[in-house]
Amino acid sequence: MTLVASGTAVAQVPQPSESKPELPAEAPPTAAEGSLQTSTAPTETSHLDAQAPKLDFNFFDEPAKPGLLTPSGGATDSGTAALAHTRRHRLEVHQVLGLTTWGLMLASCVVGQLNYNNLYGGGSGSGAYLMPHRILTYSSAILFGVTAGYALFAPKPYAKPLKFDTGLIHRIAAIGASAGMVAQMVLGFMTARTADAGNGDNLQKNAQLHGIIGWTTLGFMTVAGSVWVF
Amino acid sequence: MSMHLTSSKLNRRKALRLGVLVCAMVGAFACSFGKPDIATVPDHPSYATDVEPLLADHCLLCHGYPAKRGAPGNFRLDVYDDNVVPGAHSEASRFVRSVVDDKMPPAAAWGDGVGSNGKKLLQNWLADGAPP
Repeated sequence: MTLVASGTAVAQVPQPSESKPELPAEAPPTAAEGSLQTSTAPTETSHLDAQAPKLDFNFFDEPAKPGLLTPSGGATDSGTAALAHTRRHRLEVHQVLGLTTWGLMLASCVVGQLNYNNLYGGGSGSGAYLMPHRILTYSSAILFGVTAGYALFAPKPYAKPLKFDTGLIHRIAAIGASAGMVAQMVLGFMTARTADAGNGDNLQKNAQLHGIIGWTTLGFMTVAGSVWVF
Repeated sequence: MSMHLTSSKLNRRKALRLGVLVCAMVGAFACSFGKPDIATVPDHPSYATDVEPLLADHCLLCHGYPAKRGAPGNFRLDVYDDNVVPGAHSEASRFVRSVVDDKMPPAAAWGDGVGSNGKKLLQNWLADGAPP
């Protein structure tokens, strides 16, 4: 943002107490300025215009770049406004999908725990929860990917400085949840494939680790959702 | 101080993350999770000395007693005795065929079956009349 004092403004002869704060602190007083403070004659205006210090300076480091939002929040052009609208829409969808994913993930964890208890925790070993767990985890993983896509591919019409706020907490938790989800997919696949091969080696250990990572991932998702919802 | 990432850097990061994910998934698919194939194939195998250890490595996780992981309760491979499991001998050819055809174990379709030597062992055992 630029504040410009033109020659005509100087010609209105402001009071000394009003004009001084507008000058840069390091600008030394000049002879022309001194004459400006005492002069009231309109005939001297053109002479002052020629000798007056240049008052065209910036309050801020850089002028606003095209395509950015102004400090008041208004878009500088219609293209940016459209991008901001698209971003808002995608993040709203992201929010709804995220809460749905959280619900599915909670169900996956609960059914997964029942599955673990059934197979390794003294249950009948019938595998009654194998298919429900598989359906829920596939649904959670797919929906998680779609939800992440809505956030990752939302346009960014304006630059946002990195600072510690709910947005940053959400991002950190979402990164943790993403890492957990990838680990879950790989570990869950390995465990299922090992069992399908009829190989019992390390099966319980892998299932245990799969469960721990699953509940941790749900924890990350809970944090990520809580910072926005509450 | 504000930290801004340019869109090209963001795209590179996204591509990197996607690449790591794809590599992890491909690596997981490419790995083998079954027990290794047997080294030698006996000419005249018996259930007690040759077949039972093979089944223990590949089948008994589900087809033991009690049956687990959704396996049918009336089909057991841990005992080969008509007195204990009626019809055990008559079922031998059916179960060998399902193994040879890569229908069992379930991961055989992905390359985690009993292996080629294991299949030969079962075929030799069946050709000899499936001795106990």
